[in-house]
Amino acid sequence: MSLLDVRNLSVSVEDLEILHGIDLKINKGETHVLMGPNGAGKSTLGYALMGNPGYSITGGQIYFNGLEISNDSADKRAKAGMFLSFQNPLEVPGISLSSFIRNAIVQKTGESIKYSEFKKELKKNMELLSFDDSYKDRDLNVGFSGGEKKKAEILQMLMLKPSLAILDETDSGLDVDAVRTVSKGVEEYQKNQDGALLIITHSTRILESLHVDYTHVLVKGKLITTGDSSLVDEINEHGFERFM
Amino acid sequence: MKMNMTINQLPTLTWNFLKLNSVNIDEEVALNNRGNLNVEDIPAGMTVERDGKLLANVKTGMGPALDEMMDERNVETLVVRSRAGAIIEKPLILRYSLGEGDGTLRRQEIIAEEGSELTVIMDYSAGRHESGFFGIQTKLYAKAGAVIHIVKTNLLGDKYLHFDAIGAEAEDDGVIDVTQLELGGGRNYVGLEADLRGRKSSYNGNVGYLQRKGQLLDMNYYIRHLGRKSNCELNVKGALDDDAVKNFRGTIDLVHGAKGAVGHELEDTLLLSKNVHNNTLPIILCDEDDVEGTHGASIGRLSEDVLFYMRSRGISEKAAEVLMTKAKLNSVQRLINDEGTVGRIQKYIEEAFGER
Amino acid sequence: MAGKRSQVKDIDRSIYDFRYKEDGFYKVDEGLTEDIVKQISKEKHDPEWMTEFRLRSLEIYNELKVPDWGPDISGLNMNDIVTYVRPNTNMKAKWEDVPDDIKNTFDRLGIPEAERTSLAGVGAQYDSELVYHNVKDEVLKQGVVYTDMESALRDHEDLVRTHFMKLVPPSDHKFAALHGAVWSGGSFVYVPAGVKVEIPLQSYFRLNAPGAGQFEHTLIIVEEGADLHFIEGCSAPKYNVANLHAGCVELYVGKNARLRYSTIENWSKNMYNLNTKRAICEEGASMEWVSGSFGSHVSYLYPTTILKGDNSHMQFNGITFAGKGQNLDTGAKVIQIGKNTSTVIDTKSISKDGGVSTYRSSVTVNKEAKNAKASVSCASLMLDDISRSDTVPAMDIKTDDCDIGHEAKIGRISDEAIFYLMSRGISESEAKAMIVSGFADPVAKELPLEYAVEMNNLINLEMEGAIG
Repeated sequence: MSLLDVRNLSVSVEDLEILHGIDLKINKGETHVLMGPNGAGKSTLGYALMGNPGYSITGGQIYFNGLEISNDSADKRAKAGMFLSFQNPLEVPGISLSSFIRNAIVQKTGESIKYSEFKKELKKNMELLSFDDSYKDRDLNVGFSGGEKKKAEILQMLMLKPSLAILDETDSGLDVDAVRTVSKGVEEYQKNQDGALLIITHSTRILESLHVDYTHVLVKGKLITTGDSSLVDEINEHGFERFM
Repeated sequence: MKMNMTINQLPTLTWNFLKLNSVNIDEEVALNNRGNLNVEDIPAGMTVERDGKLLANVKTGMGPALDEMMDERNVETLVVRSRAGAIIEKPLILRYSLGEGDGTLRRQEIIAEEGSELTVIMDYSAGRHESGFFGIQTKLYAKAGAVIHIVKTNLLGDKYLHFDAIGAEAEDDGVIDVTQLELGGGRNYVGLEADLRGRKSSYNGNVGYLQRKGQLLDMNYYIRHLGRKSNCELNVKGALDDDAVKNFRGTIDLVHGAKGAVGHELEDTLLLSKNVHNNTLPIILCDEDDVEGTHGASIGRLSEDVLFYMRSRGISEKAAEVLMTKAKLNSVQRLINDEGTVGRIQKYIEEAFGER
Repeated sequence: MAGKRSQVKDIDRSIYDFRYKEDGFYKVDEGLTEDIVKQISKEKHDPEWMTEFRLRSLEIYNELKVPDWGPDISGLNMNDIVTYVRPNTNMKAKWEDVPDDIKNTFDRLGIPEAERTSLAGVGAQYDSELVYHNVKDEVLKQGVVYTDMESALRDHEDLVRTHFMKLVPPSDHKFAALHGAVWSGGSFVYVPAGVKVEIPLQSYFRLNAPGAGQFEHTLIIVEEGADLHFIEGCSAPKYNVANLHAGCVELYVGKNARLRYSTIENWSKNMYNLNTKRAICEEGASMEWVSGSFGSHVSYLYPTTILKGDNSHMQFNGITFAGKGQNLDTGAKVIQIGKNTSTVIDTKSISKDGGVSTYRSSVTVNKEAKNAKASVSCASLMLDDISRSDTVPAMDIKTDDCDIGHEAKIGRISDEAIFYLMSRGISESEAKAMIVSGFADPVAKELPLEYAVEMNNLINLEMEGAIG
């Protein structure tokens, strides 16, 4: 049984169909890359998988751990083990990064966690991401730079321990050092948490240090082709032209 | 005592159908002055005296009717004063403890002498579901270069009738800083006027509220810019749940001659139930050209974007509402420099959501 | 405090002198009586129900008080209201008596000679029938009724009877009641279902009858799926010796219909403009207001939209320019009732030479509304330190199922902006005029080109001389 099984999925935004019949299977621990030119519908797939109410499923189904989740709200999907890192994450004045994460863990697991354990793990993961310790007490994403917001998203992924993480353009707008740091976090998730990944990107920078199992190319709302990691290199060299 | 008076009148009138021009109070309250005031140790550099009354000319936002009522009944005035030049970090805590059936009128004056800085925390508490009447008047006067921080926490019983009349004046470079948490009380009327007379005088207001079943919060803020380069920042945020009613009147008056004055007000209201009623009336009066006045308001439930983000982290809609309400209150309560007071506020909030 | 400048001392007395130079007013010592109203009704050949309606309105008028908020209207002679209602219709003034500033404005705006005398109330009636005859013919082919109110009452009595003062009942306020009692003239438009009127229609009838510009009634019914743009007024100053305007506009926008109602109002600066405008939107309907207020001594003007139907929408773009001797209290009201209704209000106001402008609004979201959205934005520009600008917006929200945003800003033209333009070789006064034009641009953009040009001319005219 696949961890994620997307069957013939069509998705519309405000009556306009963006995705037309997507099929995609992701197994436990696998890393998939979704590439495609701007406007192909990559982010739409991420939002639809996570259950954004602005994106309506007009055909097909999504199965997660063998259960259909097509109509589940996003918090149900998160509790089932899905995670989406946002391109533009929410800013919440009045709630610190650490208390937000703790809240989410409590909500997700339905159990309270020991503060000392939480603190220890948070510290470890922040160090891994070269994320200055002071940020844990700052309001969630308020006044964070683009890079810091991305780190905060990856930090949440590491703390919430999903079984499938969807990273939506996590590398966009970052400098070389920041990409390297974020990759480190993703690597940690791959290795130590045996997490599956769907990495949505239109560049290839984040993939340099990561092990990739499958690469999919999305053009005009359709998955055109699927290959192994060598497809990444090919696109890196020749772009998307041959798929258009 | 029979009360029949008009309070919280707008500085400028508008359509009567909005029912916001003023509030008419017509009811009987039992006055027994049972409420207990506990003054914890007085920080060095401050004096506390009973029965002064030095700020008769300072107007409050609730209007003259309350002054008249207090004068008629010879309500004692507590006077807090700082020594000139004294920078006093430790807050003075005035803890008013009320109980079931208490009916109390109080007044207090806080005077910061030249170049001094002081903090007064005024904690108004009663048992969670107790009823009674608590009317208090607070007048503030910041002399040149002085800074007054006051913190007001309303943890009164949810059947209490509460009047809070605040009046303030600031001389040159004087600062009036008011942090307010309106959590308890049944029907709460708050009227604040700040006259920024001095050059570069300023008013800093932060209000956080959570109003729930059967609660009313009626606010009238009137900030008058009289001095050149005077400055006002008024931030009001909170949440309404169940059948709570909130009226917010906020007037920034840029008076002729207040060159270089800047007044900002911002209101952020989270609505948590279909039975709430929110009235917002942010007014700017402008009689001067070299000034800047802005206001913004955002009223509604959690937006789809916020909700989706929260949900993607496994946080349900109900939990997200609690989290966002706490966030709003947190950003106000973190301005309070006293752990004990913050702890009491947090306990109150936790209990409130525990009942939800 | 608001309104303290509403008593403007230095208003040009010649405007009033002009009025009193003429004798022969229909002079009645007591207030407005039943007999006078009956007389008006008889002269207009009203059907019986209309006579009764007028008399009922008169009763309400006598009961109601003048507003206790807003600009001062004590300059209106309420005890002798009849002088506003029945000026001597045979009165002929002389062109020489028309104040110079008005003549000057005619010149500057390039108003044709024939129209000038009519606008100033001193010449023969400007024969607008001729000008608009072709327009009327063209829309007639589409089944559109486009006529004056008196004809409508005669030829479409049922339609008028079921709609007349149903949206704005005489009990609404004192001047609505007065209007109900003494209304005269105005426009009637009926657009049948599905008809899209390509050319904007205009309220030209205002020029046809003496005194008709004072208490005129506009009634527009746009049926399901139909589309209309209606333009009221023009940029030329309309001069009227009887200086009270209490018009009424009622707009019925049917299912999925769209109505755009544009106004550029430039009454002469002795006018008390107490006008009431209201629209109701059925399911999927769209109401668009474009409103420019430049004239009048005192204005109370808040076009109201009732978003009754699901998915109905309203948009309001307004500009108010208050100059010397003016106290203009303008804004908008909306009541959101249906599901998925939306409101966008965007207003600008400019105060100059001691003028007072007030932006006043209310957004009401009813308890039964679902997913209501409203976005309100108002900006005010102070051009000197003897003027005044107030902002009084209210939001009355009775449900959580809504998203309401509001922002307001008051300030002056930034020195940096003027410096920037001057550094490019533009004079200070030109720079200021440019910035004010830019400020007004969002409203100008909503107007047909020729009106936008006129409005711009008007702004330039108002800007001239006073600053720089």
